[in-house]
Amino acid sequence: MKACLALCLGLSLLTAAHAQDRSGPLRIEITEGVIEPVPIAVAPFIAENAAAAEFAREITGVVASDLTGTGLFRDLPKEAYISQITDFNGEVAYADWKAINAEALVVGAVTLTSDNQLLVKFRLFDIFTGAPLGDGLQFAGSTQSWRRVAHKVADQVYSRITGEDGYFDSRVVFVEETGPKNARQKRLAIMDYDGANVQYLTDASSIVLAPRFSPTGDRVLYTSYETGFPAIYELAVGAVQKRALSSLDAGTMTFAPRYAPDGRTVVYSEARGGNTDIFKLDLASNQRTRLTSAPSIETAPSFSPDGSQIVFESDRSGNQQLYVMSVNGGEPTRISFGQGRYGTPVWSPRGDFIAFTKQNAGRFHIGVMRTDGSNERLLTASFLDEGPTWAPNGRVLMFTRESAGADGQPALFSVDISGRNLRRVPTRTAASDPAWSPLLP
Amino acid sequence: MQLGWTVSGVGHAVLFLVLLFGGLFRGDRIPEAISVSDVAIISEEEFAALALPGAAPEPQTEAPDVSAPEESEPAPEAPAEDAAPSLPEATEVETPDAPDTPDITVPDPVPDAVVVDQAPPVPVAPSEQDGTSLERDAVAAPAPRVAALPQVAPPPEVETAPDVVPDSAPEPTPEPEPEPEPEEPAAPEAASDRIVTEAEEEQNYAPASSMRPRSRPARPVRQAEPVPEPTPAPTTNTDDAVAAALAESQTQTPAPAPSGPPLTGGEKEGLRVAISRCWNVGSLSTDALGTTVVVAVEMEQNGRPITGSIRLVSSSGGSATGERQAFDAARRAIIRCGTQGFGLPVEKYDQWREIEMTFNPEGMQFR
Repeated sequence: MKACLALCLGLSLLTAAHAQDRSGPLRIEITEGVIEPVPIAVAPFIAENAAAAEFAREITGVVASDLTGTGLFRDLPKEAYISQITDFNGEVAYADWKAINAEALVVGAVTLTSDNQLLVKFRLFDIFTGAPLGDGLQFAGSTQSWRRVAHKVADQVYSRITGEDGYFDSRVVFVEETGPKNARQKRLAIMDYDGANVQYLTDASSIVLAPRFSPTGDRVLYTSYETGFPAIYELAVGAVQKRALSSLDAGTMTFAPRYAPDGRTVVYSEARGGNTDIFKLDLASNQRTRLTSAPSIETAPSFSPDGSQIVFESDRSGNQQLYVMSVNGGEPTRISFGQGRYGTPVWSPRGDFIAFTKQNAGRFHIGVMRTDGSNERLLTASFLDEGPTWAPNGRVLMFTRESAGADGQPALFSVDISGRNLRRVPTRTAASDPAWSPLLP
Repeated sequence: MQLGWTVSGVGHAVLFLVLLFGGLFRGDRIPEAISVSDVAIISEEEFAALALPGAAPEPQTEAPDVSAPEESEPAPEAPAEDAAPSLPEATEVETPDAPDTPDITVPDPVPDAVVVDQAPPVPVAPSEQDGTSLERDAVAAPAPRVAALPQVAPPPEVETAPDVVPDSAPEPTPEPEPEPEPEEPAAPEAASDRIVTEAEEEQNYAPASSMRPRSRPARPVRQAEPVPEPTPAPTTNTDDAVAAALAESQTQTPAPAPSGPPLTGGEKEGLRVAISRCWNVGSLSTDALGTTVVVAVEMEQNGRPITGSIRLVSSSGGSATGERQAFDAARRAIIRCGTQGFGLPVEKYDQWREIEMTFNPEGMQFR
């Protein structure tokens, strides 16, 4: 009986002490949220002179398209606006925008100067804080580059809201494919990230494969069958001049090239005598270094952003898997252990993930994993998905998706690293092998 | 006497046991399968008719007429002739013409010097992946990509020659579509509290969405309950000015110990769910998604947050940029869902006059 009383007394004291500890603010923890596009209002840009009216309309459309195309934003319809933006420097009626649930407001103006220069300025407002989000900015460019100016504006808006760099002012080099499936003609083409402004870098006289941008975006490596054997060429994008990498031996097959982050070194695969290994080539000295020497197939090398490591695919274990090794070679470390085959690894420009192609159970996937192989996550599933390439900010992947059947055509698709926002990139014809450029200067 | 009773009793017991359980030890206790066949009662005439030897069917000694079909009937053709036209001939590799780009507004920047004005060589089969032989492709089939896995043919390649050739009409082989895909799939814009990738979609048979629990109904507005006033400072019992000032400062502490009954678990959960519904992490950077922020907010008695009082108490796990993004998202959540008030019990206002909310997005990164 005494023990029972002592226990009750102890519990009472404990409860009282706990109640005293709970003094102060109420504390709660929130671990579950929602994932939905942020509602924003991209008000029609104001044309500050009559000649700029058409540009203002087009630029507004591109900015809104860029932002909503990420899947992170939702552009509120203009019909829902309570107040209209008629003056770039006018007061913002925050209550009106809050009433339609806008969380951010983009206001812009376009001027076409007498010397045919476009001046585009914008401001971004945080509706909930009732204050501008960053300073206003103005871009100047030629009338021909109005889309780039619009992409620049969208990049700034994206960056200020999400805290990440944008990727809209970038380009994609890819292989345009025409003709029937069994007599396909291929040529290198380059376009804006959203499929606009397509230009061609090669003709269709020989098969070209796997273009890769240099870190500065002014050169492209690719594989061509121009001589009958696959060989690596380097092409200056601005001058459209190409050169074969001279130090590579004729008669051997060289392919799968990729620049080092400093742009001075290239890693590639070389097949000789039935064996495929990875080599490194110094572009200045033409010095070639063998990095692997296994009897298995090693290919698809890709540098880490700091240039210290290389990820590649190999079947040395009997099955195609991903390995990481030092930039100077040495014993690699296997990082993929799941079922199926892994290939075409690409290191994220942020260095946090490695994207890859995976084939398992008759389907192809684009996936990402941590650089040590953990947290593998498949983002897509299709008849044939392959060849991922990272957006400059490491948030989006573009890849080739080919449909099944005799009429199957390859096309370019993009997907957010979270697996959301799977979209087809518009191209005029069939397209494959995309490679994303860095952000343009 | 007793012995007789005992013997009789044991004997009867054994008898009953044998009768009851004796069948268990019989090997033939499983009944045989009973075959049942239909019978019919027939008359003698019918039986006699059936028994007549002439009624038996005559054995067929001659083979049936298998004469060739008439000319008017089209004979099935060999598949080779039909299948062949779909393959190009190796000799038909034409000299490529200039690229046909009529629809491209941007002029083709390829200079003439780059164009190789001769027939392209027959491409070599892409054996770079397997590193085997260098056989020339007889049908000039396009080489698969270097970056691809050419040794792993895409599963069910349905463009092979058909097994069954149609009778006469040389129609193109119907192409089965193993995986019909939408032309331009796009992520739904509907809000979600989790990310489901395309690779996971097919395994997910759970309902795509469900109703969230409704927020608790607003409580009836009670008559103005006087806000607990601070305890008057003792001013008469002491002449010590320092003690008086100290007592004054103690009575004006911004967060006095809450009085009254504490919030129930359900009330706390209602508040937590209400804020969760407005905490949108979809636009957060990966850095911000790794940042936990503790945000303090002062509340009005009607359950609405005082917007100007929202402040960052602490953060962990991210950079300064991630901290700002995470705090902005938390602040938006509090403001958005606090517009109508959080429906907290007025009589417990002291308990929620100030709230510290920890926004931990760890579980929202990749799920």
